Amino acid sequence: MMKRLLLIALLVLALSSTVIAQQTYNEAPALAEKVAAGELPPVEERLPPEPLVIEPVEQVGEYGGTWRMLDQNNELGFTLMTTGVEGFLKWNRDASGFRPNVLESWEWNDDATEVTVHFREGIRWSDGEPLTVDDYLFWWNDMVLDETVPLDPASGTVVGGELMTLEKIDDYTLKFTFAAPNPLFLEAHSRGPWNSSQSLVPEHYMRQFHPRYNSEVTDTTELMNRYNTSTRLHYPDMPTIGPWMVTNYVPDQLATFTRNPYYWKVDTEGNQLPYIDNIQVEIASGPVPEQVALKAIAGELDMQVRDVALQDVPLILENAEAGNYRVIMWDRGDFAWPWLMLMYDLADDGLEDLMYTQEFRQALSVAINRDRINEVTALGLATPRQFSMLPQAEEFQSPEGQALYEEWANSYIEYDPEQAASLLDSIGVVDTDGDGFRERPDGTPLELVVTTFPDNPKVDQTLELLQQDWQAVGIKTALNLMTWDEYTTANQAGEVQIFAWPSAAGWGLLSAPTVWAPIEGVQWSMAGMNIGQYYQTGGAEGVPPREGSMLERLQEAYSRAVSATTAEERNAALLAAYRIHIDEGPITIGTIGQHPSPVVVRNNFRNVPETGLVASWDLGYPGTADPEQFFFDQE
Amino acid sequence: MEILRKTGNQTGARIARKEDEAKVVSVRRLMWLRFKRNRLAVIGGIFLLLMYLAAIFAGFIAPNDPTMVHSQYVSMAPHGLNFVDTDGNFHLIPFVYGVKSAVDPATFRKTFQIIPEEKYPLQFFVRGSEYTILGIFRTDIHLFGVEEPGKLFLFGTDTQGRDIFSRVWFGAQVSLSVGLLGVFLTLVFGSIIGIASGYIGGLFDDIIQRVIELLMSFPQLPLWLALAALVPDNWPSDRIYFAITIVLAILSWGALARQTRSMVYALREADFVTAARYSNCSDWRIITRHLLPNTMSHIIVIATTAIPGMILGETALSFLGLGIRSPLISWGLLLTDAQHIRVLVQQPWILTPAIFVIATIIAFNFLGDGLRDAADPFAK
Amino acid sequence: MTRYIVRRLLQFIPSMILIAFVGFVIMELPPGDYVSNYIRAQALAGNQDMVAQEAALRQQFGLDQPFLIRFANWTINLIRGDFGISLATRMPVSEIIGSKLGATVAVSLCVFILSWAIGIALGVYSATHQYSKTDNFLTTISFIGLGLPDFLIALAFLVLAWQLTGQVLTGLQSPEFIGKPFSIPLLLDFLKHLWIPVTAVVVTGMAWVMRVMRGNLLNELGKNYVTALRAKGVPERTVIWKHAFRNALHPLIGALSQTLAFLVNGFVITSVVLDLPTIQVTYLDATQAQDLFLAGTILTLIGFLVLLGTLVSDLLLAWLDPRIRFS
Repeated sequence: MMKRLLLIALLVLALSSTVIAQQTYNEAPALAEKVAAGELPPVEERLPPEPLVIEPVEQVGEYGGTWRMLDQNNELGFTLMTTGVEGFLKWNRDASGFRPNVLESWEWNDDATEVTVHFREGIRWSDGEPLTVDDYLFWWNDMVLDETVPLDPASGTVVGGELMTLEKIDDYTLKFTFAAPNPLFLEAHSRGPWNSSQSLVPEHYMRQFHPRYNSEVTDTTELMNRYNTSTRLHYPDMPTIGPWMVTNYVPDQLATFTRNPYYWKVDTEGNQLPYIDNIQVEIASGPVPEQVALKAIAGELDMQVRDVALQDVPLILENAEAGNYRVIMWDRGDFAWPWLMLMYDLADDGLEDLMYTQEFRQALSVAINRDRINEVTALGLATPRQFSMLPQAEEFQSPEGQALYEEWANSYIEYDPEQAASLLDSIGVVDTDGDGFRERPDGTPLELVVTTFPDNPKVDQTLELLQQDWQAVGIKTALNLMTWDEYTTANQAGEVQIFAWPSAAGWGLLSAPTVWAPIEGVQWSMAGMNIGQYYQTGGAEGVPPREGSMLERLQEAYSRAVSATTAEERNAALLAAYRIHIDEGPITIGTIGQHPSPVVVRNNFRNVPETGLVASWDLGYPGTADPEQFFFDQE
Repeated sequence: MEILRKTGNQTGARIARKEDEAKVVSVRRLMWLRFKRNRLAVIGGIFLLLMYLAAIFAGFIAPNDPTMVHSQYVSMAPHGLNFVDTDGNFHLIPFVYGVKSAVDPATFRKTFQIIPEEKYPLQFFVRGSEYTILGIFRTDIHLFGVEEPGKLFLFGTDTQGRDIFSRVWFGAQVSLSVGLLGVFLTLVFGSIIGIASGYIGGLFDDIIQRVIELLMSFPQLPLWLALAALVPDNWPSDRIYFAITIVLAILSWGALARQTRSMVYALREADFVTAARYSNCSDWRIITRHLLPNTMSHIIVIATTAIPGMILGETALSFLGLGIRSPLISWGLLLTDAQHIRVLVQQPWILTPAIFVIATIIAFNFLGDGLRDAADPFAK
Repeated sequence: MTRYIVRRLLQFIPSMILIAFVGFVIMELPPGDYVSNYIRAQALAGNQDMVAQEAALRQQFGLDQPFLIRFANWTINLIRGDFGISLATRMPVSEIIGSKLGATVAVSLCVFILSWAIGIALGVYSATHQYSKTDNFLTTISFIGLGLPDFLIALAFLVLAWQLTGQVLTGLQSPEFIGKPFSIPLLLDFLKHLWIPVTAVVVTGMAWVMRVMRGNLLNELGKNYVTALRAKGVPERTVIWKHAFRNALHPLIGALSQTLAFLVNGFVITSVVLDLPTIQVTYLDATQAQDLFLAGTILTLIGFLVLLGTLVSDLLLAWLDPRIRFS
């Protein structure tokens, strides 16, 4: 993978030097006026000597226009991911891997414990100051390492229990050293609007809010407000390296953005990006999808990625002509919505025995009528599938990877209540007292409790159907709702039997590997927090899984994959790990997944790619689709 | 307050006078006569009676299991009973057509087409899903239905493919009883405290009044939110039902107590109470034998007018996601399913439950109005 | 009179403290706190690093301290005029409330004036023409108004407005006017949005006023003094407006405090559906996110207003009706 990335990096370099080196650059008319008036330096001086060249999706665009969209109260995730995902690297538009972004190139040592990275020279903050490694070092030294700043190290910066160390080689070169191999550091540190996107802070600006540099500042509130992505919008004076910068923010109502005159990317003809002049985000509260639906059919949205409800698709499509827009079906990027985390560390030993029994798990899986769930909750547009990673994941790109993917995604998903019944019969889970529900092998009553978080109607609907399906094969099933705290406590106490996790996650080793192998003591850990905790602490805390169980093997397989230093090795190890999920599966049960995620796009709003994975913020859509090259076709 | 006291006096006096003149007609009968004159109130009363009966026999009236998901018939518009078939032939017994569903490939909208060859005549007293009446009688006989595989969705289906007609009646069970039960609790709290406060007076009255004032001055919404948030998410739905009822009752007893108190306040000075007191009646006897009966009619009126508020309160709680939860069904829950733009524009039949909510509330108001007028049979 | 006022004022203070306390307790009662809600949202979105920041966040917001200390700190700051910050936006609470007050008051006032004016007028008409066709019609209309769930009205109006004008009139301003200084086009734009929430709320609010007015006036008209006045040959107009109407207003004035409560939080659902930038929506969001200081302050503020309303209505009544002062 690294080799491939390097190759891409070199390719882009080569491209930029041959095609563009001699070229002069173009800029938006509004900026040209400012240059003429002497308010801005000429575009050549604002751009890096070798700006990053963005290949437009359809065609070279034209300048102008205001992009209208709607976003949710407070979080403003969509806004954030449109204007602020500029990390070290950037996902490819189809999420198949990463491409250089702020980093121009990088070199790893052989055992993946050291990486030397080269910042793109000449990137400027939106106030014209140059971006250097000092900006990153400020985050690390003055914020993360500073005890007075309430900020913990980001994931991937602590390896083997030790903090990474940084060495500044020159203004644009930085060396990272880790205590153990950390081959995926740059990728992991480039996910979403957080990680390096958030860590690259303008030192020259931030210093004035740091108690260490400004004796008038007594606490870190002002500093942290500027650091936290959700509160950054309050400060239009804070420089950014994103394509647009905030001009006006009225909380709960409106956020407006205008182009960053120092944006460091150009299109293939040397036009400085972004094409679109302004962004206008209306901030909605209450039932946001309703407002999105109405605004969409009224043609008042230029491009809307999030909060478009699947159930509204027929309504939106039927009004597409009148509203002069089209609908592009992106992917929600979920492998299951929800997936059912079976817990293998239970206070109830009898139930734990059953969980460890493969026939029991298979019976639970084949008893689910996934097609019905699909029809009822997703208009039949999702894919019934087992809990398995997404087909876009890198390890599935080889032929054997694809074969394994097909096998995994389709394992134990055929709806077959009779098979479920016979599987249950075979392990002694039969109805002995004639009440219509099966008892445990020892004759005591069996009741499964499926827990989830409140406020997710889609999951609630799914679980109601699931409950009917399981009851139909004689397994008494109850549904339960828990808040985050209650869930955490109950999980640690071994009182959560099955948890329906409602959100999407990344895949493979990036994002959240703990959803498929027990490695961390966190809420979304498969098998339960205690088992994850056991491995996370090296056995000091938590509860080990049963000896010789598939959980042990999964963890071992994960360790092999994570310490692999080449992509081939890593992919092979991952496939071997996933094989356990098939052979001993299902270990965590999937329902339906890969929901389409409708994107409403105005007809003259161009350059929007046909693919995108929306749900997990890790993937940073629509930022990953390069919104700076979206444009309004003015004809 | 003063005004009320005055009317109380007069009423008492007038009752005495009138009874001298025409002994044959009791007060109760007078009330009834007066009530009967108000046609709207009578219609409202009959309508409500029918609604409550229907709610009790919901399982009998509903042809389908209200929680049954018909995944092939998601969001289907009502395809009503037909007397005349596609060939123009008249059928004495109405029938429904079989329906074929398909998905419009351009808009992903489900479309339904009738199959003219398949006719399922309406049948009465058919066997179907099991249900209980009042939790006692278990049976599977339904008033009407059609033979499998025919489907009878009189009001269409919701977005999860459930029969709205059946859901309306099962929802009525919860929503109508929430109103009654809530008002009953309110009555118990409110009238006891109101009567005690009004009769005892003094410091006790003062404190109670301040507490009620505080309760009433407390904005309802936060109280709702807070009380509803106190109901644990993982309670079984029947317990949530009772909790919601109590929440609704807690929030409304204050007003009732206040009104009862002012009535008692007025009556306390009335001649017959004074007379009772002089004849050494105990406080208890005065309250139960004199004050309660005299205020009862007013209390009932107030209660009747409070029920619609409770029914609406339940829908509001559901809207905020704090009310009755599935698998229980309430009108609030049904309306929550309906609060979508797509419903208003594309699937208006999902709004059918709203008609029942509105009709019920109008009926309660008419009834309450009629009762109020009737409670004072000697007024103009 | 002075003694009465003093007595009522004295009652005011403990009530206020109690409201603030209850308000704060209510915010504390549900399981979890702002941080755990926030962490959950972040974790579900994929920001897993955030989970590790849980303790740091709690410390930053002072949520790690015991309840009573937090309450005491908050109350003391409240008295000092410092309402604290919103945990969600880290903005000063006073600033947030200030930014919402304009819209809230504007909508409330319009609703109040319209629903009372129309409600009283129709109520009087209805009472003076009891059981006439018009009365029956008005009664039915008002009952429909009382029976309509508010979110349905709001949603229906929104869709209707879209079908009529082709515009989506959520909020109170078009985006190009938000945060801009006052101008005539801004006012026109505001009025263009205003009619939807106002009409939606007036439909129910008016119905209520009308019912109360009708009932009260009927009550008064049945009294002896009215018969006496009529017998004396006083013109009907004078009997109704000068005598009966005035007396019939008393209970409405008595209900003023509840009216204030209604105005401040009565149309929350309408506000939510129409996405109005009013304090109700802020309060609802804050409560659901357990944004402690924001919700607590708004709650206290609302309680204060309502108590003030009670006080004013009591004083008004005492002034109108001398008997109350001496009871």
